[in-house]
Amino acid sequence: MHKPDSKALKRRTGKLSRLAMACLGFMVSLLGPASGFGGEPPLTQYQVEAVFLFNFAKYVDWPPAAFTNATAPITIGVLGTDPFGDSLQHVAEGKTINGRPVTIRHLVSDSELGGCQILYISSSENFRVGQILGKAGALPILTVGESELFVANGGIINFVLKGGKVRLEINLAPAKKNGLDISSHLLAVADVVRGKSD
Amino acid sequence: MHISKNLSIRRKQMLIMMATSSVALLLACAVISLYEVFAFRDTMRENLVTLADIVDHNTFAALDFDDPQAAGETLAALQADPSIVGAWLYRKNGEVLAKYDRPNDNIIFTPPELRPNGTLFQGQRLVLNRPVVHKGEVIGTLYLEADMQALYGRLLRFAWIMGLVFVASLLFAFGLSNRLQRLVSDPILHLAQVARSVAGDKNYSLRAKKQSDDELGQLVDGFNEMLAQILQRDAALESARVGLETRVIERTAELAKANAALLLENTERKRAEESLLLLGTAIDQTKESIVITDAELDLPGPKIIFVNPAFTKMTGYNEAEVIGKTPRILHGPRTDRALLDRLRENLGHGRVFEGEAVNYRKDGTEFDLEWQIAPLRNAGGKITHFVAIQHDITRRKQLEAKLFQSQKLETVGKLAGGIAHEFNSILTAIIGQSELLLGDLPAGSPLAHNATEITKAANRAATLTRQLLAYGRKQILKPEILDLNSVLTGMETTLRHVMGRDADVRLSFGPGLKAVKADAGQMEQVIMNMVINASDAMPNGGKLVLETVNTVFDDQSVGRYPELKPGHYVMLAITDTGTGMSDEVKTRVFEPFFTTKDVGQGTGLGLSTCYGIIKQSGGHISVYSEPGRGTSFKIYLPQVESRAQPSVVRLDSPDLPGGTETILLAEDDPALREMAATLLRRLGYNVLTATNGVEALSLKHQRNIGHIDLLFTDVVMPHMSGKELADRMQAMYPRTKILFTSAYTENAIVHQGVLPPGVTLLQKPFTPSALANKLREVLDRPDVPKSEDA
Repeated sequence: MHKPDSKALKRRTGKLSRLAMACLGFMVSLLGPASGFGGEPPLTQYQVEAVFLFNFAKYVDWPPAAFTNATAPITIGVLGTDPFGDSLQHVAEGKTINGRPVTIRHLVSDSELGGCQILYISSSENFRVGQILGKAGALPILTVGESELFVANGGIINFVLKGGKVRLEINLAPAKKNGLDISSHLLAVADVVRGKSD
Repeated sequence: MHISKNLSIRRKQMLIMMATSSVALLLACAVISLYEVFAFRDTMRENLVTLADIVDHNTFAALDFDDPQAAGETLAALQADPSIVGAWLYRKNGEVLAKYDRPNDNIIFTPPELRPNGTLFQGQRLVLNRPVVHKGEVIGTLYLEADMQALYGRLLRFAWIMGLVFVASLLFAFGLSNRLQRLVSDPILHLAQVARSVAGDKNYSLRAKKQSDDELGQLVDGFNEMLAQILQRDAALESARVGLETRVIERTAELAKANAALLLENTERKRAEESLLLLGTAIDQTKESIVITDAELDLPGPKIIFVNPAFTKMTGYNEAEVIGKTPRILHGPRTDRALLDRLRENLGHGRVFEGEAVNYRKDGTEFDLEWQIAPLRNAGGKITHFVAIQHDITRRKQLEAKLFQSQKLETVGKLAGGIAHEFNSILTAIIGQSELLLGDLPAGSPLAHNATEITKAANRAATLTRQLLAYGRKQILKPEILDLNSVLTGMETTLRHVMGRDADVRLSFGPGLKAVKADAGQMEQVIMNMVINASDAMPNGGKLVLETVNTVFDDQSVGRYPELKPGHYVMLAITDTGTGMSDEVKTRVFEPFFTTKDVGQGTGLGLSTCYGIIKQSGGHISVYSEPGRGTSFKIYLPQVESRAQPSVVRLDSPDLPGGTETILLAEDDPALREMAATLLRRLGYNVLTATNGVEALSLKHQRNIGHIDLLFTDVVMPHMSGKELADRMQAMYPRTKILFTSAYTENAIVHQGVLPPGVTLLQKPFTPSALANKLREVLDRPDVPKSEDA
């Protein structure tokens, strides 16, 4: 506990500390985050999206039928051309969510949808997104895509670029239909939209 | 603390209580405040943590999905808590996701450096720094900073409450103390009050009231007990004092009794001591020499063991010189051995011995003493000492000798007087017969010469007889009150004349000289005799002093003159500076017929006559002389009270009747002749002198000197009696008047036929005034022719 010797000293140290803080703040702003916080380069869109993909697992509760057992991994399936490279793998590596590890699976066909909890539908598949969503929409799968029609086609979360930043559009109806419970926290940071089916 | 010592016990108690209450309250307040501070800080910390939890919870998604807007909105909700100064939310990589600054805060909140996780009080801020964890993954960091204003505000409020509580508690404590302290102080004050009353009034019967059973009650009990004990003790002391006083009184009485006894004893002892002392003093101061010896009679004799001072004075031996010696040391050649033998014998028989002896002083001189030696016996009757009382009788012996001398003179005087008296008659007969014979013889008869010689011799014998009569005190005296000074004054001129020019005569008159009773003429004769004697002793001149003085003989001094009685005297001293006399002459000087002069020069009766006259006048005459230096005669006459009448008129006094007549003076006594002649000349008379009748007649025959108015003649003269001379003168000159003088009384002479009756006789001795008056009387008598003779 700070115990000043006198009022005057107390006042002086107060001023000093404030001055020191101001100086510190000035220096931090000059040097920028690079020097202040590790100096990692800015994430690319897909690196951000990879993190978001992984993070979705934290905010969504799947019905127990979605997993084979209690410790079955959460599988993120990437359908279509993989834009993430190895960043998605990197994000999920070694981590567990709710006691479940997260695995990445690259899908080549629609038949491989079962077993995925999160399905990223690459923009390469935009041409047949309705088809894919039709299939996926019958399963407890959190569908994530990035196209203007994705939500309208019954997709649940759509990545949108707003001001250079990756933002989220969420369509709650398909989620509810498939028994997915999306956390309100996630909803708070996303735009909730309505699909055409509604 | 110094001040609080003099406070009253009430105030002290109040002070103690208030101080204790204050300290306790302060301590309690401090502890509570401290506790409050810590509790509040904990609360703050918890609040902040809770706040952080909320922020966390609401920013998971924002962090996970990198939504600064959402994060910022969440942080802005912190505005609800005014103590939050600022909040920062960092991304996982350390970039700021969102921040919050307290609005309207003039403090610029600056982003703090990343800190260790946890909460920290930093100055006036509480900061919280912690990772935001979601689903087991650190997704960012939250920094919260809150200020302590709330704490201080709360503390201030708390302080106010505390202060109020403090004041209220103190007031309450004061009131309570004020009431409660009486429980303690009232009994003490009461006790003090009682103690003061007890001390002030000395009233130990007072009691303090017991108000409780605690220690104060015990104190009151103790105090009361003490008072009771004091009371008891006082009573005991009082009774002891009374007892003591009684005892003191008893003892005092005993002491007084003892003291009285002691005093009596003391007085007796003192009396005994005084008696002893008196005895000692008497022995020391008595003039009697006292010697005490032991009782040893065998040789060498008793030893002296005590002598008194008188012994030393008498013998010259002091005490140390004689103690242990025998009295033999005082004996000498003239000590009577037989007497000593008798003494020894008497003492041997235990008898008192008295006697006179000659002893010797230390310087060898003799002295006479009278002994009284007595044996002293002890209680058993045994003789232990002898005491000798010795009286020096040397002086007495001398006085006895003097008295003897005086008695001898007396006896001789009586004898002489008796003889002279007889002789007077015989000589009267002889003279008368021889004159008759002479008258019967024819003129030119050879027998006439023989008859004349008989007459002359008879006259000489008559003169002697007259002097012997004077000496024998057979004279007829006419004593009167006299002033010796006047007598001397009257005689002064005559005395100077007698002494001659070579002598210095001085008269010294004692002041206030008393009168004496004596015959004036006789006194003049005495003085004249003395002066003549002095004149003879100073042939070459010298000094003669006549002095008078009053003197007293007391019992002691009269001892020197055994014939004198003690009393008041007038002394006349006649002192010359002449040849003086030896002791032998001195002792005999008043004896009749004793003379040192050559035969024919004096009769040896002058001083004897003086002696007789003085003795007959009740006086005394003494002589003191030293050979070669002079002689002093001292005449003592008893004083008489009344003043002397100036019976003796001065010779040169104008009152003395005088005259110019021619007087023929016939007198065989040269001194008397000279005196009378001088006197008469002074009185103016023409004086012719003759030593006898023959000379007188021849004088008349040889010189024609004219008329002689008066013949003044002695009756008894050699060669021719005064009667014959007168007869012859009258035969030749019938107008010549005659005045006879004689030592014989008129009666005797006339009776014996020496002179015819009717003649005028001037009795010798006569005073100058008597002579002058008698002379004038005869001269002035009218001429009466002598019818009888014719």
